[in-house]
This record gives sequence, structure tokens and C-alpha cells, in this order.
Amino acid sequence: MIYFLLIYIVYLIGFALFSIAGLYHLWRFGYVGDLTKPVMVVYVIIASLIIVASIVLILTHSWTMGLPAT
Amino acid sequence: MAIEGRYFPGQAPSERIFLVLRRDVITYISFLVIAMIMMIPLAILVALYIHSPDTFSSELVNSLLTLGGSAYLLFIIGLLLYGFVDYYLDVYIITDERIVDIRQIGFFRREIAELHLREVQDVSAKVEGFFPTMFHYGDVHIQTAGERENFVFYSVPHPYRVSKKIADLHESQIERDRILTEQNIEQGVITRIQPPAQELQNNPADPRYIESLPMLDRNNSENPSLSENRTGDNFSGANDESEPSFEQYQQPPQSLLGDGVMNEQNSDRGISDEQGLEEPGKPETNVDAGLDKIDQYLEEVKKSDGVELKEGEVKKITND
Repeated sequence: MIYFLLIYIVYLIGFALFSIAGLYHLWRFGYVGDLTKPVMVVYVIIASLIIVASIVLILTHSWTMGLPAT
Repeated sequence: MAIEGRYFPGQAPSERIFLVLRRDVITYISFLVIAMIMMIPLAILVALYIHSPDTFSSELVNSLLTLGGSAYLLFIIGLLLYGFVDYYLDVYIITDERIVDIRQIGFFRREIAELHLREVQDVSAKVEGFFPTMFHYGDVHIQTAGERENFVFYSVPHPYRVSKKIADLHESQIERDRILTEQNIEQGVITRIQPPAQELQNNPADPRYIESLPMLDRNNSENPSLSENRTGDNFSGANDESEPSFEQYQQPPQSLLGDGVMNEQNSDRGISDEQGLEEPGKPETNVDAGLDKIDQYLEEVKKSDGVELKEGEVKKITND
């Protein structure tokens, strides 16, 4: 099952890069007083909550290595 | 009412922004609806897990639910972010001089086009479909002069009112240009310019033909009516006191002209306050309020004695 974990970590890295690109666009091309900054904050909070929750669940769960028995 | 400072790339210092338009919010709500529908399967799984945890006792199922569910949720909010960037950063700006179309196409692709109000040929509004009709949004098509591509405002609120106001602003701009040109001529800012000599030399019938010839050839002209001694047809320049039949004007002051189609430059972060530029203030995004501002502006222009000129232009001529 460790493979799932590794795939998930790679997915998280890709998601982080995607999010950085999106947030960069909102930060750079947003206008003063518009919704871009609040949306950036909300997005970061929600994404962080999901990732933290998943990390907590991962850590509280015993993972087998998933390797074939010798 | 005037928005000082820069709000978009290329904004003139005293350019007044009336309205910042975006697509109607209903176009983004459809994105939200899709996201909610996508969350339904996950919600069902979570409900099952809570209701009967024995169903998910196997490690494989448990790990899939945890990791897969988390990845799926992140995918959905990533999709919402992408949709928001695409929706919110598409902006149509109407100022007292021009119309600016800023289009964000996904990530790392942005197109900015501007159209001066005097280049507007025709404006029309189109509302097609059930939701546009019920929620009062539609497209505004702005036909441009020449071969330039037409401007289209997609899915904007109150398209009929917006198109009417753009047409009114165009007419107001044309009138201002006309008045400004007349004032410039009176003040002597605009001078009469001779057409190129070659052009005149190709057309002996033109009254200015004699002027285009070298000095030695003028009195030898075969056409006596075009001799230098003829009165009333000397178009030699601004000091000439005779009444010209031809006038070619210089370009109007540069501040009235725009940059044409504008490509995104590197330093468009002038819109950000981090660069220390003067904060432009919040322009009007509410359509009704923005259209009212345009009405007020048009009333001001009508009531004024002359054209309200900006710094560097010809001094205002009053009716005194």
C-alpha cells in the first residue's frame, strides 16, 4: 500500500505546482479591492485543511509496505 | 468618480474608468454546480463509511478511500480555481476614451486589446438562450472600423444598456474630437501642411501645382492660370492669409490617441499596489452604477461650454 502513498505524494507535488500557478495569476492580475485576494486565502485554507486531514489519517493508519511475502 | 492611477496596462493618468465588466456570475455558478455534482460520489462513500465502517475494514479499501478521496477533493478545488481564474480575470473596461478587453485564457495566456471610442462603428446586443433571457445577460458586439476584429463582450449583464451606453460614448467622443479640432485650428496648434510635392507634380490641374514646381520652372508653366501671380491660391503654409481650399491636419494631440491593439507587456504589474504606484481606488463593477456614471459623464459633456481639455492640450476656449 506504500505505492499508493508514493503516488499520492507525487500527486500532491503536482497539485502544489498547479496551485502556485493559479494563485500567482490571481495575485498578479488581480485589481485593488476585488475578490482575488479573498479567494486566494479561502483556497489556501481549504486545500491545506484537506491535505492536513489526509496526512493525519495517513499517520494514524498503519501502512504495510505492500511488498510480496518472501 | 475618476479613477486616478493605473488600473490596467496603458491607462492614461487622467483616464476615467466608468465600468469594469465581467461575465455574468451565472457563468461561474455553472462551474460550481458541476463541482457539486462531482462531489456526490465522494459524499456517498463517506456516508457509507460513517454508517457502516465494517464495509471498509480492508486495508486496500481504507487506503483508497483516504488517499483517493483526498486527491479527488483536491482535484475538484483545483478545477474551481482554474475556472475562477478564467472567469474573474476576463475583464472588459469602459473608460472615457476607449474600451479595453482583457482576456485570460487558462494559465500563462493573456490577451489585451483596446479600441478607441472613435473607432467604434456599430454596437449591438445579443441575448440567446433560456438562462441568458431569464438572468438578463448576453453578448455585446462592437463593430470596429477597418479590418480589425470585432470586439465581443461575452455574457455580460444588461447587454442592451451596455451597448447603448457604448454607442453614446462613441458619439460623445466624435463630438469632442470635432470641437477639439476646431479649437486647435483657431489657436494655431494645427497647421496646414502641403501635400508631398511629387503628388502635386503629377496633377497639373491641381491649384497647388505651381507651388510644387522648383522656382525656375514656376513662371514657365504652360498653364497661365497656374502662374505664381494668381491671387487667392497660395497654399504655402500657416502664415498664409488666403483662404485655402484644402486643409490637411496634423494628428490630434497624442493624448487622444491610443496604442491600438496592445500586447501584454512584462511590467503590467502596475495594477498591483506592491509596486508602490498610486492606488487607483476601486472602480465600478456594479453594472447599474457604472452605467449611471456614464450617463452623468455624458450630461457633463453636454453641459460644458467647450471640450474639457487635459493637460498639454489646447487651452479651453470659453464663450466669453
